[in-house]
Amino acid sequence: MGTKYGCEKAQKEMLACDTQSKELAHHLEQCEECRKKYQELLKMNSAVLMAAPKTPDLRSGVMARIVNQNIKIKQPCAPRRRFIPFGTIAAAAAVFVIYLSVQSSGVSDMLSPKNENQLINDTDSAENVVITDSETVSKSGANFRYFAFDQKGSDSAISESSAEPESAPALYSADPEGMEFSKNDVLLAKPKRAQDLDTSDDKLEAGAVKTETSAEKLEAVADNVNAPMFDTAQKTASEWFEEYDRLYPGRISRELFEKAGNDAYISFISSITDFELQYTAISFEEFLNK
Amino acid sequence: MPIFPRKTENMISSEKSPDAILVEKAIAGDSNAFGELVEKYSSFVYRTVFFDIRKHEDAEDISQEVFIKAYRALYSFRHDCEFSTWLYRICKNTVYDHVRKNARTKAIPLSDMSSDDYEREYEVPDTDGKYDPEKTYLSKETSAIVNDAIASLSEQHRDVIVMRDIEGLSYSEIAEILSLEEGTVKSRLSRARAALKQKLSGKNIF
Repeated sequence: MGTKYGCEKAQKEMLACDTQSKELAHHLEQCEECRKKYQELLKMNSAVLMAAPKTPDLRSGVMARIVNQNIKIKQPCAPRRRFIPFGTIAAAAAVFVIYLSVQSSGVSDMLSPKNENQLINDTDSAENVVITDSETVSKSGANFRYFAFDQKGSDSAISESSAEPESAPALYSADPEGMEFSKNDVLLAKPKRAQDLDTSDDKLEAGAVKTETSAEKLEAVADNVNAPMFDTAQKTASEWFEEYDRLYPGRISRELFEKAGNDAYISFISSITDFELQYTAISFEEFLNK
Repeated sequence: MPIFPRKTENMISSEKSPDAILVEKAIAGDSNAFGELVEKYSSFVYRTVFFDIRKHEDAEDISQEVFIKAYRALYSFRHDCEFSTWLYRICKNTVYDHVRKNARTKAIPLSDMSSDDYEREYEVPDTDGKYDPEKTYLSKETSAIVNDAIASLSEQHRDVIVMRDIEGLSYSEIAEILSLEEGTVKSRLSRARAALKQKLSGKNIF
């Protein structure tokens, strides 16, 4: 009979391996207990093999199915596109629609830092520009406000209407003749008609309020040869006279300028929308007579 | 002689295995090539499925389904593993799908099956070429008990018993299929046999 260690090792080996090592064979010759267990293991393995279920003929069945059901080998497919969830697309679409509706309904006016009251009150602040494009309004059909100025240009005379005026009485589209502006008023772009504006900023819809820096003002004016920059904060009336006299030499004499006075000259050039046509002595005199 | 050809050094380095060649032929349209693969692995697949499902008719259907799935997916066989390993995975996945679908249907133990179910299943050893009714009967009884005991083992133990003691695969082949080390296969087989012996003890099998 072998040692206990020998039996343990032998039984492990006989369970794990199917071939006898020399040590196991030697141990089995000496140990009756292990020999008996080894015989049991062989019988069990034999029983397992005998008990194994007989395999049916799968080949004919499988091949028949492939033929009868016309089963094909799947071809390798191209990589799938990245799937974007429907929810994400819907959310993006909703945000876009809301953005469009806000833009078209004029809510942006309400949300802008300067609303209509501020516009009216800030006409003296030399920082706001109202661009009213009657054609744009009529095409889009949106509900915009129109601001009509009386010829005095006073705050109290500014009226508001939701209906499109026939003559598009916007600040720059109306005939400025006879309009009066205070000393601090600012005119940036002065095209004859609002639709003449061609810069991207000029495409602001009617009623929009825009706040611009001095640099932006200069750039805006530089784009329009026929609308010289005029800012009383930068130059005195005399300096402006010198400037325009250099641009339009001899059109208005220094005598006429001095006779009319600084305030009258400033008011006159403030009312001009087309300096090429209107910066003349005749126009100035007519302005003074009014 | 092992059922599955061993992967030699040459095969690993340059040559394709016989299974890989059959796969390529099948992809090229040679239906006989795939038929050969089916025939080669029928026993392995069927017995693996049978001890999972414990029902012969279902095992046959599922085994067919395994080969059909393999056929459809032949292009996805990447040759980075043995065909047997790839087929074994398909086999197990198909069984899991079947079990999930039939979760409410309780598996029938082999011992509860009628004698008709067993009729065609047993391979009665015919050593001397003579029919021995008593021996056949005893073999049926023994087979039912043994198969029931195998089927009641854990899946890990069941599979190594089927692969080694029934299918006769080598340790390296089993290690390849199960993605294990050979030592792990040996220890697992040792525990599986011990568990099976425990289940069969006292049942007059040995």
